[in-house]
Amino acid sequence: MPTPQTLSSQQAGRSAYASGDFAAALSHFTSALSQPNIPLSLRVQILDHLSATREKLQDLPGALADARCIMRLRPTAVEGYLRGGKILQLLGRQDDALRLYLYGLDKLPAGGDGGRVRAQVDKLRARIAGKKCEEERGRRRDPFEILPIEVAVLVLAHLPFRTLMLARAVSKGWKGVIEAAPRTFSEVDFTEARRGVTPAAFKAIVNASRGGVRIARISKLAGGGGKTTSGLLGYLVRRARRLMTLEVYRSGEVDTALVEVVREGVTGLKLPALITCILAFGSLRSDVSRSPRLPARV
Amino acid sequence: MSEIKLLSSDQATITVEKSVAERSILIKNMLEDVGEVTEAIPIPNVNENVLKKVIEWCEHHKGDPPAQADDDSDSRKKSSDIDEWDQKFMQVDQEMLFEIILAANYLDIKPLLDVGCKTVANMIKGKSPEEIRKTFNIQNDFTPEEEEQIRRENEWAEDR
Repeated sequence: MPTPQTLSSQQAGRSAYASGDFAAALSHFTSALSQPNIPLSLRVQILDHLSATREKLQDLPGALADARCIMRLRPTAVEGYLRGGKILQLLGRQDDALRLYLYGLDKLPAGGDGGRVRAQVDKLRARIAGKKCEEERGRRRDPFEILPIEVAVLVLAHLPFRTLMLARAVSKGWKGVIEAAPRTFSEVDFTEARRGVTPAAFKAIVNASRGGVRIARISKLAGGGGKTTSGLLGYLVRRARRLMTLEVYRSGEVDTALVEVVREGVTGLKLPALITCILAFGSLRSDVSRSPRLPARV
Repeated sequence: MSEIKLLSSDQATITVEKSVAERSILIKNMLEDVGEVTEAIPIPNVNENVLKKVIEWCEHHKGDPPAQADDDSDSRKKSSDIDEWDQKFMQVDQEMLFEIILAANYLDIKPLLDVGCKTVANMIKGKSPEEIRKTFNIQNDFTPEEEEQIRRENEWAEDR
């Protein structure tokens, strides 16, 4: 049984707290706890009061110590976690507060006061997420708005063709910068394609290049009959007069008709810069490069 | 060992070894033009924080051999090859990263500019357009029709 002094000190502390005299409340609660034979639940209650009082007196470490005391004495009491979590948040330790709540949820008996802790967890999580988002947004900036165009071009020079094409979809600004950068279309490379390149997509890229293609590595053309391929290659070579290297990769059997079409197309157009022209079928390659005027040997 | 003084845009004076400062071609040329200087050289485009960071880089790299003549071959440069120290050095928030790049461009420190550009390129690589927007906090300003058009043209390139 608690002594009458414990109960009367607790009562006096509560009145003092209610009237805003926290210094008096502190001394009453401390004296209440100094009595012998205090049942555990009463001790937890008074420690909870004491922690609240210290918080009002701006003694946050002390308040946290009281909360820890509750957790130690009675791990199944919700007061320790709620109080401790609140103080940790006041100390700016949001992540620790969240960890404490989650730890508490684990310790608390099912169907008890867990809901109150759960509510705090949800609130805190939302607050942490919001803050993080805000902070990061403040620091994050569009590089192509900050960097001058000559530097933006240097950044783009490190990116493979596939990435550049994808990055055009970021914003109008990015599309403009990427398509205007001289290197973007100088090396058209479909070898990294994830799926078939449709004729429409192929033509759109050739058109966007405005004749700037110097190296073309063509593979994975969709609807891949030899006729489609040679048609698209024709589309490319007629518009890429500065073409230096043309490499065409196809799976399957050697398509001599395609070789012939390319050879004729390339020869007929007399592309002045063309040095290399390779047609590869499966593992076989035909190097038309040495002299485009000679029939290709496969 | 001779030292020179630099004056940042926010009026801070920083003393630095001459050979370190000469990693900046801008400063090197300036020193060659004026000969001996006792006064601080104004660097009007770069604030103290950024200038200190740039000098830190120059100090670490002062023993590096002079940059190779830029081989401007047509193959795209590999961007994964940033040395370990430089990678750590570039682990700063985006604002600082872009400031360093701008300073390297202004001060004409090609290898630092290159590391900065590679770092930004690595932040873009392997990401979907939406992930890139998130990374740099960019608004998607395409109309749904424009977006659909680009998506169709990019289908071959998309991971999934």
